[in-house]
Amino acid sequence: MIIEDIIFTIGSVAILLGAVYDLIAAIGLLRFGDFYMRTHAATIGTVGGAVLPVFGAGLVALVYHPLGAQRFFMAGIAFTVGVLILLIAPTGTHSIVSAVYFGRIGKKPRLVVDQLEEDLPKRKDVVELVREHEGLPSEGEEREFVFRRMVR
Amino acid sequence: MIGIHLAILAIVVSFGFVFSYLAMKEHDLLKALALSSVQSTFFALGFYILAAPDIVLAYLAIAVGAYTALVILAISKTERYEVGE
Amino acid sequence: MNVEVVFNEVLYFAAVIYTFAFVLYGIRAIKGPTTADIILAVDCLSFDMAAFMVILGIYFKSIMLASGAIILALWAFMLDIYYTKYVLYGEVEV
Repeated sequence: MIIEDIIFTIGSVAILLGAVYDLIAAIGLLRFGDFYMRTHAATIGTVGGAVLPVFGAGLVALVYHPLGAQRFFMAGIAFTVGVLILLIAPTGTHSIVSAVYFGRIGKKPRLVVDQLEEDLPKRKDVVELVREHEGLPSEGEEREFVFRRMVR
Repeated sequence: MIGIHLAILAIVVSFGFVFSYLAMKEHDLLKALALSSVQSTFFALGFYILAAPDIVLAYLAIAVGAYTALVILAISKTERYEVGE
Repeated sequence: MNVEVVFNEVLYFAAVIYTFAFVLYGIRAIKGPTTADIILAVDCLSFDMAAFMVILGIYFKSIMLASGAIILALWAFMLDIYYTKYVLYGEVEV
């Protein structure tokens, strides 16, 4: 049928395009200079290199007749994996970058302006906020014995 | 077309061997854990190409999930760097 | 159009490129100066490997093989969360 041929062609082109995206992302991840630019390449590698060929494989599996009656199960698995990666990959990358930025891991690149650094509350303000929130006694009063978790 | 998955199997298992050696020689335990997770991901694809889906299901849940969780829990309770001989 | 022959050609081309990309990700994981680079490399590697597992599952004609991709994607996400919780808060509650 002509419709099945069109769906198969779209799926195959998606798989090939996803493979090329994946190679571009791998070269970028190898060649870029610092960590924040490598996350830019990782975005292409996950969304363009994993989600696109998985949806293409799902479209191919819908019309791939040598698979028999199992092809609908295969298409279901493929679409499930695609939606999961589309939800998971930006969340994971965002959490790693926030860990690197706030944990001050590695060497920070040379920046012209860093507005997040300017907007962060200073350490003294944080101490005041914690004291207000937890109801701890202020400087002059008698201090009770409190357990505090030691920060690294 | 015959030998393409066998070539992929050879490359993947060689990379797993290299990463297990690097994880063994590392003194930073968190870095050794990350290298070990790379090794287990490569070996999962190796088991996949050898057509053993039950081993893939068990090996992923243990070597990528539970093993890294337990070792990070142990590192957070003790020390991160391995010192001395 | 013979579907099986065309799909075998597509998979041959895609498998070569995917394997080359896996090798490059592995080299970045070897070189990586900090631990965060290795975690980022294993993140990309797991998601691309899940996609490659689905494509190979169509070639091997087995749905049991393709179901490993869901578990690989989900456990690789947990590794990011453990690393973030260890670096930012200093301890992990499982």
